[in-house]
Amino acid sequence: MIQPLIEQAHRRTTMADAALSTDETTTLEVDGGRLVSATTATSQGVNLRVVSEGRVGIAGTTTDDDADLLDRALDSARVGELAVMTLPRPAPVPMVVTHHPRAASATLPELVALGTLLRDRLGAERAELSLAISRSIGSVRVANTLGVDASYDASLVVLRLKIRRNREARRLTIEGTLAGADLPALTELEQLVAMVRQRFAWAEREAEIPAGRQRAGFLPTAMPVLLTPVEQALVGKAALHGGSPLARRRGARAFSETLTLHDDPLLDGRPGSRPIDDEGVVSRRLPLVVAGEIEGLIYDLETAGRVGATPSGHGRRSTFGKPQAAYSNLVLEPGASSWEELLAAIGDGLLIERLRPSGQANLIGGTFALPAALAWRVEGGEVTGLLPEVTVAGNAHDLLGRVLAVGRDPVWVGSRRTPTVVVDGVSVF
Amino acid sequence: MRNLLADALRTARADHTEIRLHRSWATAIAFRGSRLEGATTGLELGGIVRCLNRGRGWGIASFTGLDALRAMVARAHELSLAVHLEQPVRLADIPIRVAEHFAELEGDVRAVPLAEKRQLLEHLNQEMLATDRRIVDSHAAYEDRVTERWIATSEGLMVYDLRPEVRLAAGAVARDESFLERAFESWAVRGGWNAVQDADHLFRTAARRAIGLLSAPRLKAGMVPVVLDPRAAGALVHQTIGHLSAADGSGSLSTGQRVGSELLTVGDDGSASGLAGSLAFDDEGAPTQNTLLVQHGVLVGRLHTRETAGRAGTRPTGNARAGSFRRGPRARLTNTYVANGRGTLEDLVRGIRHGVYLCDAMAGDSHAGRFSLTTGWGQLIRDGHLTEMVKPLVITGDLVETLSRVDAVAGDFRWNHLASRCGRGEGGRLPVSEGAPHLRIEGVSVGGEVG
Repeated sequence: MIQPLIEQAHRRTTMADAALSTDETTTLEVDGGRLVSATTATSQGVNLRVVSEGRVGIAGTTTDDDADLLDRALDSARVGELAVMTLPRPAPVPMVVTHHPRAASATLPELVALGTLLRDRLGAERAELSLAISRSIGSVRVANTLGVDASYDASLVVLRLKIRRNREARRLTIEGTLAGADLPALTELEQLVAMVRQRFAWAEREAEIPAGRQRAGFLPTAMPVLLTPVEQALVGKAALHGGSPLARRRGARAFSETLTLHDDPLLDGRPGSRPIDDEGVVSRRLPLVVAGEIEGLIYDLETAGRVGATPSGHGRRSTFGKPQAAYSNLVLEPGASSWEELLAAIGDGLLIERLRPSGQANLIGGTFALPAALAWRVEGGEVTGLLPEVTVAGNAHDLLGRVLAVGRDPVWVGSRRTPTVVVDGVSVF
Repeated sequence: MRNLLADALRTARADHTEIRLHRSWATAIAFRGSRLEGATTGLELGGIVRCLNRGRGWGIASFTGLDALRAMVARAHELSLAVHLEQPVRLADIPIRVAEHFAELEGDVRAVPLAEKRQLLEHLNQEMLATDRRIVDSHAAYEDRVTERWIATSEGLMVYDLRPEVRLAAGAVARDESFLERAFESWAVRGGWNAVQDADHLFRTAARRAIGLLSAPRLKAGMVPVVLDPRAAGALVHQTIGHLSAADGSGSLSTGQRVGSELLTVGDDGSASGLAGSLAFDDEGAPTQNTLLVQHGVLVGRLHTRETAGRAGTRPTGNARAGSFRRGPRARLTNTYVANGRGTLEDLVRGIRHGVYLCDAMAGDSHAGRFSLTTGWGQLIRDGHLTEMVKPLVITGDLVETLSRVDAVAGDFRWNHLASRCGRGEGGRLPVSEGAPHLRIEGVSVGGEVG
C-alpha cells in the first residue's frame, strides 16, 4: 500500500514520505498460574507527510483503503507550516536483530508456561503472584520520494511480575519486568526469582530513617526519576524552544564525570532496537553525555532542519500527527563498583527501588518530590530493613553532579539499561 | 454497517459476543509561540470483539479496519475458551434494544475547511500573545472529533450513536527579569464549530493569569482553612470519591461508610447534556444515568459495568467506558458533580481570618486513603476578603478526614467544561467533566513549591 501511495504523492507534491506500521499484540494475565484474561489487538496505520508549495501537510489513517489520504494530506499542507526539512536519501541499512521467530511463533500455552514456571519457582514464598505477559509481532516500512524504501519486522515479549505479601498492616509489593525481542531466557527468569527472594529476605525487618539529607542508591528501577529530566532536556525541540537547561551547556561538564549516557538503536533484540527510524534515517549509536559532558541531542527531521543540525535518526511516528523525536535504547554506562562497594558508598542512608508517580516532578527542570513505594534502609554499608513509605525529594540535575558510586552490573528496565547509582544529598521526609 | 455486524454475529459461537465499532474523523492544530506546529487530520476505523463462555473468562480481540471482523469474532471466542476463572463472570441484564442517537452537531466540524480552523486558532493564539509584552511563549491547540459508534451483542442489542467533540487549550508563558510562569485554560464540549466561536476570553485569561503569577508570592506550608473554586472542588471529588467509586477498582470504601461531612452530596451523571463525559449509552450499550454516590456524607452508590453489577447483584449504571476501540470497557467516571448547597463565595470567605482561595486543578492523585491536588493558582483570604494572588499550591491529606472537614457548600454550582481527560487505571484516557459549587474546608494541609 505504501509504495503506490508514495508514487501517487510524487506526482502531486514536492516531496513526501510515509510510514506503515502493523502490530499484533497478545496480552495474557496469569494469576496464581491460571490464565485469567486473554486479549489480542491487531492494528495497521499509515502516516503520510507531504510538502506542497513549500508547506508541510500530514494525514493518517487506520482504514484498509483510504482513497482520500493524499487529498487530506494536501489539504493539511495548504494551511501547514513552512517546510524546513530535507528527506534522507537511500543508504545502506545496518544489521540489528529486532525479530525472533521463536517469540513470534510462540503459542498461547508456551506463553502461559512462562507464568507457570515462575509460579512454581516462587511457590514457597507464600505470596500472591500475578503476571502479565504480552507478545507483539509487527513491522515498520518507511518510504519517501527520494527513493528510500526500507522495512523491518519486530517482535517484543514483555513479562511483568507482581508479587504481594501482606505484612501486618502493610502490603508489600515486589515488581519485576523483562522485555526483549525474544522469549526470556531461563537465566533471566532465575535472576527475577532471585531478586524477589532477596527482597522478601530484606523485608523480614522493618527500619526507620531520620528526615533530612541522605546518601541514596537508586536501583535501576528508580533511575528514571534521575534520567528522565536529562532525556527531556536533550530532545532537540526542548532546546529549540529555549526550555532545555542542558542544550546551552553542550561541550561543558554538566554532571559527574562517572556518567556516560548514549542512545543505541543498534543493540540486538532490545525493545527500542531498529535499523532505521520512522522517517527513514539510518540508525546509529548517539553519545548524549560523555564523562559528564553534554555531547548530543536527538532530533526528528523537522527540528533538525529548523536548527541546522544533522538528523540523529530519532523520528518516531504514530498513525496520527507529526513525527516527534524519541529515544530508542538508552544506555547508562556501568561503573566500577561491586554491590558491596555500592552499599559501602551509601554507608548510612537508603536504597530506592520504586517511586510512585503521584507526587510532583518537573520533567525538564529536574525537581521532584515523590513517595517511595519501595525503599530499603542501609546502615553501616548493609541493608537493614524495609522503610515505611517516605517521600524523597531533590533535583535530578544536581544529584547527578554528586555521584558517589556507579555499579558495574547494569540491568535492563524496559528500553533503559542502567546500573545502580549512589548520590549524595537526597532529601527524605 | 448493521448488516456487517449482524453477519459477524451470526458466525459467533461463544455464549455471549459483543462487538463495538468506531469510525472517527479528527483534526488537530497547534501553535507554539507565533509558529504553527502542525495542522493534521485523521480517519480512524476499528473495533473490538469481546466473547464470554460459560465457566470461562473474557476473550478480547481488537482490530483496525473491518476486513478482519469475522476472524476476530472467532479469535475472541478461542481466547475466551483458554481463560479459566475461579469465579464465573455473570453479566447483569441491560435493556436489549435497537436504537440510534444523533447528538446535536452544532455546526458539523467535518464541513469546516481546515484553513478556517487554523485561522480561528491563529487569532486566539495572537490574542494570548498580544495581551502583554511579558508573554514570551504560548501553546495553543484546537482539536475536533466526530465519532460514529455501533454496539451489537448476540442478545440482540444493536445501538448506534454519532457524537461530536471539540477542545481548545491555551497555555501562556510569562517572563520578567527573573521569573518564568505558566498558566493554562481549556474548553471542551460535546458540540461542534459553533461552540468555539467565542473563546477569546479563554486565551486572554490564560495570559493575564501567567502575568499575575510573576509577582505572586509563594505561600508558607501549613494547615489553613481553604475555599475551593468549582474547578478545584470538582477535581478533588473526582480524584477521591470518584475514583474510589468505580466498582472494578481497588478502592477500599464500602457502601454505608461515612466519607465526608453532612453537607457533601456527590454523583456522576453521564446523561447530562453536552458535557465532555456525556453519552447516550455506555460502551456496553447500557443507558447512562445520574447515579448518586454520596448522600449527606455517606457512600450510597457505586459505578458499575455489566460484570461488576452482575457480581454485586445490582443494575449497571451506564459507566462501562473505554478510551478507544482498542480497549475493553471498565467502570469509569463520566460527569462527576457535587450537589449545590446555599450561599455565595463571599459567604464562604466571610469569617476566615487567614486562609486561601484555591482555584483550578493541574494534577491530582489518590492512593491508600490519601490524596494530593495541585491547584493552578490561589488568592490569600485575609479578614474575610480575597486579597493578593499566590502561586500554585498543593493540598494533601487523608481523604475521609479532609472531606469530613467540609463545613460549607455554596449554591453557585457550575460545570467546568475543561478539556481534561481521566487516565485512571485501565481503559485508556477518557473525556470527563466535573461540576461543583464553591466548597470550604475548615483545615487542610497546604504547601510545597510546585516546580
